[in-house]
Amino acid sequence: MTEELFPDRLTKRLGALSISTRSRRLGQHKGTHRSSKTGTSLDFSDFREYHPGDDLRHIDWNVFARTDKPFIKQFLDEQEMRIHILLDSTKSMGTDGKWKFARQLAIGLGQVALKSGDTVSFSTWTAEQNYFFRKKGVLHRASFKKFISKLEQPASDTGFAEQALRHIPKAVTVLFIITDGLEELRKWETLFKRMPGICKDIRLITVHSPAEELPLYEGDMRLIDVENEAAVEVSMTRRVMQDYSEKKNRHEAELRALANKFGIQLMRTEVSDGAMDVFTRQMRHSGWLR
Amino acid sequence: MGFEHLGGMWTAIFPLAVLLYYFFRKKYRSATISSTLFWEKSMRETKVSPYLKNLQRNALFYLQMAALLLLVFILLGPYLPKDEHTAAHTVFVVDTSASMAAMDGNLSLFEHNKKKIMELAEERTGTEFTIVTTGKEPKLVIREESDERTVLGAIDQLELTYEQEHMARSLDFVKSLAAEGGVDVHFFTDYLDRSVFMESENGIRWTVHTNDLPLENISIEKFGVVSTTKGTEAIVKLSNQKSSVQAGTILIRNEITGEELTKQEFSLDGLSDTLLSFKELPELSAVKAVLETDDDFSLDNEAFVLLGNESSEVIVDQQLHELVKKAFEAIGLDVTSGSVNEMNIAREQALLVTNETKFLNEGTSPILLIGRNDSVTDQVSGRVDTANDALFTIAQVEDVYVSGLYPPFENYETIASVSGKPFIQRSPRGDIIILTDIGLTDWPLHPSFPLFFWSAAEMLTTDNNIAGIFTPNERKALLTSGGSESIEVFTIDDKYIATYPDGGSFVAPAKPGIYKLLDNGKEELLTVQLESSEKLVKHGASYSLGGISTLNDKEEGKNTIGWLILLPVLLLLLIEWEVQRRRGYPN
Repeated sequence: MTEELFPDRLTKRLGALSISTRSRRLGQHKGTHRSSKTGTSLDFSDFREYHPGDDLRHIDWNVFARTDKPFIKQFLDEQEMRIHILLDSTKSMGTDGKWKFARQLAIGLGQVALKSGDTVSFSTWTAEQNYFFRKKGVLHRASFKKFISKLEQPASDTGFAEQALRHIPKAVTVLFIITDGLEELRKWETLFKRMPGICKDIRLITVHSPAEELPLYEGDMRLIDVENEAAVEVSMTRRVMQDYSEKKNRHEAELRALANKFGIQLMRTEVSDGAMDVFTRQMRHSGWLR
Repeated sequence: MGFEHLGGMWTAIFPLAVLLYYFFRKKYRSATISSTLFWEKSMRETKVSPYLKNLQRNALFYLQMAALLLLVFILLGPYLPKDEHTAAHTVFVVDTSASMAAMDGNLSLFEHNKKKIMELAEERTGTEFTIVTTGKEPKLVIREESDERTVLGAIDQLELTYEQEHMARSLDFVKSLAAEGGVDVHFFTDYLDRSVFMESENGIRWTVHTNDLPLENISIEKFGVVSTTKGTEAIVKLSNQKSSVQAGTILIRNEITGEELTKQEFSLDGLSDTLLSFKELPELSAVKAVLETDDDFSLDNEAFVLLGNESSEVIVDQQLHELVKKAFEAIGLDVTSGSVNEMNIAREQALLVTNETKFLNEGTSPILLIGRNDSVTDQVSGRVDTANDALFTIAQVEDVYVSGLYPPFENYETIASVSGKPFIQRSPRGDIIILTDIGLTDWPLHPSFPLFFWSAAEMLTTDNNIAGIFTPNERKALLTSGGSESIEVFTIDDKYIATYPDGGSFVAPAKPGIYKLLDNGKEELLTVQLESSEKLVKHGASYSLGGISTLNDKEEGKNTIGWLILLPVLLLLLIEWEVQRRRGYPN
């Protein structure tokens, strides 16, 4: 590999970041994330009155001495998160550098999560094979990177939104979906309807390439869909381009509205921005990373 | 509709080239994209109707084709057949013959025609007008005049000339005028046969306005008067051109005194002729026959006769030079050649041309003597000198070479001489004597040869106080005294008509009647009579022939349609430009 997909210097720059979530649903294992539940961490949380059945060891005796009432001293719990990254590997992802960018995002997110000691799972698929990866711990960062780097050019030609649900494991704290969003809204809608039942904190990352934003075609074009090979003959005029942009913007706006309706966060990323900018700026701005 | 330049069809290559260009045009370049999701949507609108879609997609092509085809169409020079009002040039041919004086209601046919011409001229104000009047010599009243006032003035001043219309001459005249085509010709006459337009000219539209109703007319077709031993006899031939029986009165008048000599009533069947004779009239010099009846054409109800020796027969002696006879034939007289015996018999009725000197003393009428059979010639050389005589007003004999002369007659007036010796003499009786043989001169080579014989014949046959019979406006040379004074013409009532500087330029008055001619103090009478064809008022339907066409009329054709199509072409180009602007440039 002449050029590494995700050089180590990028890993270093991600060092300080961690995934933040308000989701109450964390993993069962001990982790590094403070849970809203009381637990066994060193951080003090609250006092509450003693009720029979509580562990006597947690009674704060100092408070009992002053008030003659037994109070339980509570500590915050620290729990791990289960992060799942679902990568869209339909053929449309293979064009215009989107695949590389999408994988960089996947690696970056995975590494941030692994570094926090969370369980990271990753899944994608082709027509023949399903790819799945699940690891926990900083040590697996390299293997995660290697796993994703080895993924071949996307070749799936079945719709992503229709298939996605089958590839999401149970009990996921944060679900990252990396896709280009180029599917009909009703398919997304059927997917989104069922999502909240699986996971409370879903984050949809849409990947856009400059060629899609501003096509540079001129004259009469036969445009062929890379997935279903449907051809559309278009005479390129300013009007047609304008219509295209309008349709595209409307589609994105509707997708965002649809996502909001089902409590799904959506982030729009562009290949030209670069993966690092997405992590260090866009995700922090929107509070996805901390 | 037709096309002026069918040869321009070759320009159809241009639209065909565009068509081929669209056939061979590369249609679409393929490009693979992530999704046709949005493209599909953006094109769906145009798929509403396949026809509309096709039209939309190929709008530029259709527009270009339409523009080019229209340009080809323009190059073909389309035109619409013009209606008559578009003729830029109108020619009025106005019949001014006597028959046009026939009355139709209160106005004469001529006045009716004038009104019609006025109307037409006012209708076409601004275009060019030419007015031609008919006659032996068609006259151009105005030519290609477009000033309304001048045109109307000219029409107003049109007058009858009473002479025969000679329509064929006018027709040729108009054809030469309208050589460039695009001319609307209107004839105003009583009747004109369609057959005169056999050779139809391109670009000329003929409209013939005729007298369409038959008019009532009885005319004096012929009026003859002869002096006999019992006095004067007159014969009147009447002709009824109407189908019903007509009655009336014929008066015979002495025109000089105005005295009524006799009268006779008559009744005439429809479409028939009759002869009325009047006998034992007193001796007269000018007689007038008047037909009193109720008809529409009054001009032919009068006829005039001047009495006098009007013989036009010439007997030429067989012994004379053959060219003498030819000369008399050339001037239109009845010529016979005869022996001395024949001349003896006919000498009272005919003009004798001989070399028999005995005729100078026989008979009453003067003769023309050429040479002398009782003498021989002497050689002579020199120029011919002529006296101031009426005989030489037309025929100049100064250039004639004469090689020999007969001896002259004593006491005869010498009117031409060669180096002092008499050449032409005149006897007291009026005989003209040429003292040479034609063979001894080069006279036949000169144009004066027939003219001299004409002058001589005029002088010898005509009674001195009768100038002749003329048709209206007839141009005929008169033998005058040759004096410096001009000829003046008066009516019988001594009203002044015209003055002519010499006999050669005399033109007869237009109106029929008897006139007085004052020449050098001598009074002569002349009559102006209608030609017999003018005594008939014809009628027929008006019609028009031919169209203002086409080949000769390039400017008109282009102007009518060509520029009209340029506007849609410009509009098409504008739309094309707009389509181009919205679509962007292909490839």
